[in-house]
Amino acid sequence: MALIELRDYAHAPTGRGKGLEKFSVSLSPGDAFSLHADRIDDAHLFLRALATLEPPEEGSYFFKGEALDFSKFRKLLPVRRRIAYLGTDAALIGNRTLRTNLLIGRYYHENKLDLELSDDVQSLCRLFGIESKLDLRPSQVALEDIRAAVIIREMTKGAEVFLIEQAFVVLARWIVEKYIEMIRKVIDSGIPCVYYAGLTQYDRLFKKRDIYIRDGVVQVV
Amino acid sequence: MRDFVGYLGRQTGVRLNRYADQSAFLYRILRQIVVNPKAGRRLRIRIVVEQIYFTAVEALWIVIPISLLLGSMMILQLSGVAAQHDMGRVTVALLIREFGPLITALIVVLRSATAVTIETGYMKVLHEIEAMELQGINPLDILFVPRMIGLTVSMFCLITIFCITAVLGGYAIAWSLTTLPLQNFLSQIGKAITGLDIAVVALKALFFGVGITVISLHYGLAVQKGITEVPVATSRGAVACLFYCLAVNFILFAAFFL
Repeated sequence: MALIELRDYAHAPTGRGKGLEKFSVSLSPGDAFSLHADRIDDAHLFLRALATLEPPEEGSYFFKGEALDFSKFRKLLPVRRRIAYLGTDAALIGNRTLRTNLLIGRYYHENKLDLELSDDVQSLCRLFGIESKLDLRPSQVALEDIRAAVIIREMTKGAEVFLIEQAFVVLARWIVEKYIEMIRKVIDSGIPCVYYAGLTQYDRLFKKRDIYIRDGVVQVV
Repeated sequence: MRDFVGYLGRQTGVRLNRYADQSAFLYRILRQIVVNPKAGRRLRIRIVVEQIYFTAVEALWIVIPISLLLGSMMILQLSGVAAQHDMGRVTVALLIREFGPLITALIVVLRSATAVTIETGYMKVLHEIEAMELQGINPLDILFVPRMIGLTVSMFCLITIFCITAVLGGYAIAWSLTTLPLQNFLSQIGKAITGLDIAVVALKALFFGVGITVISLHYGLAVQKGITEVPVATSRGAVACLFYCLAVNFILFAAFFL
């Protein structure tokens, strides 16, 4: 059974894109798609659609075979939690420290406030060089630190799907290589992934199959 | 003429739509308060405490001087024009029942409602609310419910502090600065104030707190495209809050004292 299936999905254009004409696509464990689009906004819209962040104007969204009702907001939350969305617009909460941002999901779901960062989160913070900045707010750190914190948050939330957009923009070169390694491990473990590089040099890093969006027409190859 | 009628119709439609949206939003917040889900309960309590700190505690240095100035001025004026035996009733009617809640609401709108609209608008534009949702967090739980509880509790506290400071502090200032006859002032207040006065002031605090929160959050969430929309939403939200408070004040006055 497909983990995510978009059936006859269509969406109006956003920004400078052409929108998404009616298409169907499914993501199953082991899939790794490289996304190619003639317009960045269409690629962005496609990833947001997969992340349930854009309700379909036509068509249906199935998660593990179950159709999602976008009018029932609360029922979408458990699905969103299972999707690691590393889009260019993935953000941190501005009025909380990086540490709280990394812990807030656990604060909420475990209903405890005396939690510490787990070992894997701490080691990733060391790896990305943000360990000493954990008690600062996003406005007090560099853009690449924010991006690093978003990556750590999404990588460690136990997601079942990864959606990655222009992954290497903003990140320093030495971090990029570690990040590539991390994504490779994710894909090797069979977690489905859709990846939009934006830069041709990274276009073919992880792909097993391709998704093309040309003039709003989505084609899976 | 037809254009004018059309314009009027469109404006009415827009406003009715907005009120319907705000009512639905209020319903969802109140429902979430009643349900009080276990997930995020401690986090919610912490954010409520933070909100009370920002709205009530940090506003004390504004509320107390204003209440002292207004209270002493009013008592001095009233002692000059009102007959001594009416002073208690006039003070209760004007200071405790009308000006206390209204001026406190105005201070909360200026300080906190605008801040809530700005914060919510920025969170919407910068996808911070989406970031919460991607963690499986319901924004109602940790963003909207704590704002409503915090602002309403703060409103109760600030109105109480305003009224007490205005009457006692105003009396003390008037007594120490002048030789005006202010005998039995406090006992007159004590006799003039009734349970209905206290209930109406409490109702005002409740309606002001709930209404200001819903309006300011709703205007913040209405921001769609860019950061430049935030100042416009903030200004409109503050004006809407002000009109709402004046309307509620009049409705409660008409309902209980006319």
